[in-house]
Amino acid sequence: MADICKNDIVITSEALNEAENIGLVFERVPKGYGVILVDDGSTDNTASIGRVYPFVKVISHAVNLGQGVAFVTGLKAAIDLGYRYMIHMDSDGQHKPEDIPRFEEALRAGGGDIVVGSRILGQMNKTTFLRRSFLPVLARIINGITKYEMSDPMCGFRGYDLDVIRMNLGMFANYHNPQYNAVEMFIRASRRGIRVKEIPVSVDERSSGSSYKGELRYGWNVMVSIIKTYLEGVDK
Amino acid sequence: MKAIFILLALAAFFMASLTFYWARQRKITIRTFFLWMFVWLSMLIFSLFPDLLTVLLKVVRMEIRAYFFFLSGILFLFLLQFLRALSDKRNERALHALVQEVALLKFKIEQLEEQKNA
Repeated sequence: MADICKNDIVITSEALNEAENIGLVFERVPKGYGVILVDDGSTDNTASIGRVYPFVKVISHAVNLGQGVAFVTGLKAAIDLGYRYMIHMDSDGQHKPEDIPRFEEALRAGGGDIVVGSRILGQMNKTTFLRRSFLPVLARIINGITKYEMSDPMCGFRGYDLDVIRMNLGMFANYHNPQYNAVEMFIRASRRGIRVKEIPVSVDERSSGSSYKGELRYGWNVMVSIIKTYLEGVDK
Repeated sequence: MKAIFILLALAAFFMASLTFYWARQRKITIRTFFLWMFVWLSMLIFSLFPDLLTVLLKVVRMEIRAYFFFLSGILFLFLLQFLRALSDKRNERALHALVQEVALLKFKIEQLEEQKNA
């Protein structure tokens, strides 16, 4: 991977039984970027498909632990391998790999230790009414707590400056609910003075298959995570 | 003494002995040991001296024994559930950490082998 990819930036992604989508996503990754794929206990051939691509490194969880934990595994691997920047994207085809260079640009320009993609500033294709209504409310709540000015904190398409993150790895430990880690991460990040910057992204519908997150359950669990993390009080 | 009290006393004694034996074998934690010993010893004492229960009922101003048992049973189940939730969360975090570590170590080994082969 080192021979064909940039040596200071890496893309991480987690996948659970995404054999149908993963190849389509990797085909669209711009040249020069390496990918760390965390296979979160898939029972299909997600990992094997990942290994077909020379720019992809696969880490496999023996059992399914959820997206939040798999994200941290990818993050730890990126730090271990000495990368300076990490861009995280979903493996289900919703995030457009063509946006990756814009994340890189934003990270290298500075001004944000975490660069968050915003579907509100960009485009959100074919989303549900419930989700479209819920996101701005959630953004207001999180912004109220963190004092950030994010329009779409739940977007998983993000870039990280690992020089800053490696000094603050504690904020990724002991999630109350790893599946809904974004809110916990932002609340903890704000307490550590980590800077956040937003860039517009466009998000598509899944290429195929269905998401594991039910809308109402998702909303409820996010709210519970916000309350729990807010009540932590002290910085973890 | 009524037969039921003798039976209860014997059961409590048997369970207390078993709990003690398991603690010596380190099959249960010290916290679990104290929790269950409290239950069995209470059962034993109230079986051997049933009048004590009448005194206790007067103290907590309850008139019917069944209510007392029902209430204390529910409270005890709540306590057990709470302790179980704590230990579940602890185990879940440990499991996450272990699976992550194994995955990352395996990944490192693969990287090293790849470098060797190259």
